[in-house]
Amino acid sequence: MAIDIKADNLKHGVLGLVLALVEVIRDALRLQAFKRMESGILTEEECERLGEALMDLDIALEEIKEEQGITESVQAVRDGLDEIVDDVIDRMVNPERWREEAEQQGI
Amino acid sequence: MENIFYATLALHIAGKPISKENIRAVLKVAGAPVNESALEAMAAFVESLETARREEKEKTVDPRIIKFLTFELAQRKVQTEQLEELLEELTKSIPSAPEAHEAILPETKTPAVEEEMPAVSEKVHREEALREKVEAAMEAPVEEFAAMAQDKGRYVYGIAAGTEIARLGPIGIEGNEVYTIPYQDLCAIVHNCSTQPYQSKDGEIVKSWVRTHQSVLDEAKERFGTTIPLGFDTILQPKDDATPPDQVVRDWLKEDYDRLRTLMEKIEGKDEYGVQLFYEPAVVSKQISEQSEEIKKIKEEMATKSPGMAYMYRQKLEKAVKAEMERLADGWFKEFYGRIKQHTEDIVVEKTKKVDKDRMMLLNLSCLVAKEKIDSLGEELEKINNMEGFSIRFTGPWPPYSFVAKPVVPAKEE
Repeated sequence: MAIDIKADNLKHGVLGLVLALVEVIRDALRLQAFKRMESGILTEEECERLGEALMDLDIALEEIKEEQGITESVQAVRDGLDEIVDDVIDRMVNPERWREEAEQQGI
Repeated sequence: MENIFYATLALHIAGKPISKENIRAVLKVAGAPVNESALEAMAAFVESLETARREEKEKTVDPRIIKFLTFELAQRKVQTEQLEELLEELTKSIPSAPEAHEAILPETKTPAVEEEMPAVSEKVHREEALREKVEAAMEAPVEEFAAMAQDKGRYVYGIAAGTEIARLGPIGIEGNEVYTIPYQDLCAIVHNCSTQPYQSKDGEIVKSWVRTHQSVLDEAKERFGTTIPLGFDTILQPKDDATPPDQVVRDWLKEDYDRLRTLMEKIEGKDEYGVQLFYEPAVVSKQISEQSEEIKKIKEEMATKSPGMAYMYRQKLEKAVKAEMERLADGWFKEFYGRIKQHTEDIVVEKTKKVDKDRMMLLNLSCLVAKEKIDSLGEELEKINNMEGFSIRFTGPWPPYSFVAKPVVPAKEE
């Protein structure tokens, strides 16, 4: 999957990619934050600050996407990532895929 | 740091190489400050693009970029101790890609319905099959097309009942003469071709080939009755120069005769239909939040909390709704599968696909249905379609592609 870069798609390409990455990091952060809250090691006040920070981040991200008109390109990058991950998992958890792959390689 | 983007863009438009030095030079001329870490990240990104293009494959994200983003994020938006801790943890885990995926996994996982299913088949629906084939054929290099002995291969459309060599006229792919090669009471519907598969980078050409393939099968069905359809681009070729190509086809019919006969009987008077069942998560989650005690409780607690806590509670709520929805989907899968199955002769469970945000695909089935049962299946589907939050996509009749295995071609000696 070579990335095609032209002047008019640079914004969508690079910014879209950057924002998608930030979103992925945000999701990972949110998950971690939630796990910590559930585990009970955080005080009420800490949870509050964590929640607010994450919320601000959400709002900031939405604003940037809106301003730059890149909501769709960000989604496209994320969908692409999802597909790759789905594919990898599908291949790992389904033994029949291993056989198909072996057949394809002529083993 | 957006200066860096503009500088990069300027270099790109000017057709100059995008290197760290050049970006720095542009920034200097423009009198903009140089953010070293951003410059580093941009250079890394451009470099990774170059490598990706050179190697014609996807390169994993350079850890330098992630490092920079995490750093910037921490600087700008989020400055609580906890988040910094988390960021640190994340930075540690990111350089190895599989771990990073694992961390994201629980959010992207699809409902666990598929695990319950009997043998998941690879086959997909016609229009999707067509699309995939178009893609497959487009990806393949064109040069393979040339060379290779002409007319050494036999393109097989399908198998029908018949004992004579029949000529169907120039109705094949690219106007090739279509005829039959009989063995006992079966015959293969073929045309002569080179041993190279049909491939093109032009999607339209491939589509027209696949359509021709379909129309030949329609013609064969009209003329010979029940026809076993084979997939697009099924080509048999002799393993050495001494064997005539027609003999290879006959050998295959002979080898596979019993299976093909049984298959003929199985599909006689039946057609394949595609049934895809969708549910609307929005409608379902509304129902869930009205019914589940646990979710009601979370909602009540949430209402009393301050904004930050409420945000965290929303995660909890989403998770609970998702878990409940997965549990329900499991039940629906079994229920609807059973209801549809009783109207079919055979059923193949296909992989579910992503449709759009508003609809989730619960079931993707290929059903082999006898002609006299098609009405009762239709009524059953109508009932499901009328339920709130559910919808059905019903396609067909198709030739029973999903119920005929690929031909077992006598192994070619390498």
